[in-house]
Amino acid sequence: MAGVEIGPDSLDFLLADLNGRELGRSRIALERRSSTPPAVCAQIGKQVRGLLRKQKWPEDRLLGLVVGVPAIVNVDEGVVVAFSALKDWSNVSLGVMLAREVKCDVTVENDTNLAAQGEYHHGAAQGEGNFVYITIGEGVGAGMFVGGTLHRGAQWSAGEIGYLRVPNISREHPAIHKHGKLEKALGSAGILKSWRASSQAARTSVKVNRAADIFDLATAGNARARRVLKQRATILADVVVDLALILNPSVILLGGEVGNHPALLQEVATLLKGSEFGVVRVGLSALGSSAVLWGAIYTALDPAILGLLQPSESAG
Amino acid sequence: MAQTTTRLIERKSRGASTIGRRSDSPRANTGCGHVIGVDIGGSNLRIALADTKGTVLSKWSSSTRKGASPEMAIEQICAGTKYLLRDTSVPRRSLLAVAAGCPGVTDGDAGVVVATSYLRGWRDVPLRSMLESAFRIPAAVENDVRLGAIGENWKGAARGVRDFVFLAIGTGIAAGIFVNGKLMRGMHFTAGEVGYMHVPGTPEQPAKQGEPGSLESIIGGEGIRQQWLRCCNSTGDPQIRDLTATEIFEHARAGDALAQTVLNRSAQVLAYAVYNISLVLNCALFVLGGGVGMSAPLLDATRRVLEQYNAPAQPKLMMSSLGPDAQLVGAIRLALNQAESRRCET
Repeated sequence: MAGVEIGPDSLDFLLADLNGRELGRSRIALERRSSTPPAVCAQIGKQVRGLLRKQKWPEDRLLGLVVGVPAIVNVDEGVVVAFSALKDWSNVSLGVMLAREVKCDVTVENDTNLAAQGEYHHGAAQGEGNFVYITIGEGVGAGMFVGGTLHRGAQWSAGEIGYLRVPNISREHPAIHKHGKLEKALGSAGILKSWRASSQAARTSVKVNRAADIFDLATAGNARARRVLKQRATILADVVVDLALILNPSVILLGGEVGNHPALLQEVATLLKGSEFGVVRVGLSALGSSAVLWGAIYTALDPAILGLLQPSESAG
Repeated sequence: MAQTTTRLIERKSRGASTIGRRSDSPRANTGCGHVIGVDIGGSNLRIALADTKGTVLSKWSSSTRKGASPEMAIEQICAGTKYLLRDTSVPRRSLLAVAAGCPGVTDGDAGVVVATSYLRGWRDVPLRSMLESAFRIPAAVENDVRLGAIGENWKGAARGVRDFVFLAIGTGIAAGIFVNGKLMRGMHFTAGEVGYMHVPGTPEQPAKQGEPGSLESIIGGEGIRQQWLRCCNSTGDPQIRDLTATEIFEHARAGDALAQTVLNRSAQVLAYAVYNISLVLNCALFVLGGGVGMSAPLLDATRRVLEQYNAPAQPKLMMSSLGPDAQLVGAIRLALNQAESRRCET
């Protein structure tokens, strides 16, 4: 079983056996400009074959390949509908292209949906038939289980919460609000931008590489970092309330590079305390940065995909 | 509390037997029988008698007194049913099932009205067993807006649609949501309580128990009226005109600039709510119902706002085709389901 996560800057691989035991992992960097679909497919094929060789396995031992993409995906047809981070990725028949690279069933799925699958089978949402997984990293998205199954929506775009309209965005980021991009404020780029602006105004500079570093600074007591954290928590709390009111899930999990930070969770939990409507338990993803890959493995393990459950053919 | 309720049911069940005594079990064949659908609202209680095809033979309604207890509601339902049976010459033994809708949090599985702000003192009311005791036929209860969604899905604007949102806007706001052909209830039966949603333009302080939610306080019937009164006051309009939400929107359509301000603001906030719900669920169809939701000028203005957004998937906005009957039609469908499932069991 192989799981692949296509990110804007990298390809991540996880090889596992039928028991869901990890056999191998690898990561390769992606050059954004040259990451055309054929080039990425060729890289995936090469890397998966390499992982199999390491296990001294022939190619036909691979039973399923599941690929997660940060895009709206038509899962039935294996088509990437829209993918804004990389060039030339609109309406790409990724499933068909990848099937030429490997000798097994290929499934293409939205990465956040896979992360939700991962948390459901192997993480913090085990046994929860109604839950939401929110990822906050470069982008913002949600994967949701309704009545024990993944809810993908009429046009495969359920959980595209990066465009949600919530009050505090309009107050603090009127220009962003105009573009309707919650994710520009809540995502890592927006956080780094706020931090730089605040550093410039204060005429100081503390070097940070990642948005999560700013939340670390907030935890350590940096007042400016705390303000940035608080603004994000206020926006996220509104998102959580809206999701809770619409779906009434048992738990909302926060994941992704920014979302999985304990300081953000604590701040959101403080803001939500005392509200009587849209009450929901909020927690952290248990699988962290591996959620998508494990979701891919568990999706591949689905007997329907493996073709183990085809009674009409085998019985006939 | 639970004990009191139990005692009351016992008493009620004895009392009810005088209204309609039945010795035989419900007819095994639902092909020839009738069901009762009930809509218990904050101000009105309505009942419909229908045949197994869902054709309504007769309707009855009565105002609900403020502070009406569950026992009083059951008495009203019994009295109304008696009238309907007489009116249609349908024999009482022909009744197969009864279903009732209530505003507020309703546990349809257990048949309990958990909490509602529209009916004072209704908390953990075992309405299904109360109805079963009173009528001695299978009963079912559900949240009224979810019944509206069932109604629209069965005979209304969302006929046969597997994924849609029925958004009821009256005094309050709530959504009945269908996902994959199934009603979504959520973990604690509060899925779709969107009246408390936060969107740009709504108050940011969380609502307290018993107060309208932030979305309701702007685009619920009373919220719109308050918007209007504030507009009238601020412009020093000499004649403060006390109008209902629908009347205000009709004035807007007729060209009243002040009313247009209120309409545009309401449409903007409603569009945000529809847009957010559609982003989360990716539902292709929204059916607007309820007294305010049935206003044509509001529907048109909201459509115009939504068209400006470049959402990943644009939702289609329609008006309820069942209007105020959506809940009753849903109740009839639920009663028929209940009758059919009991038939399968026996």
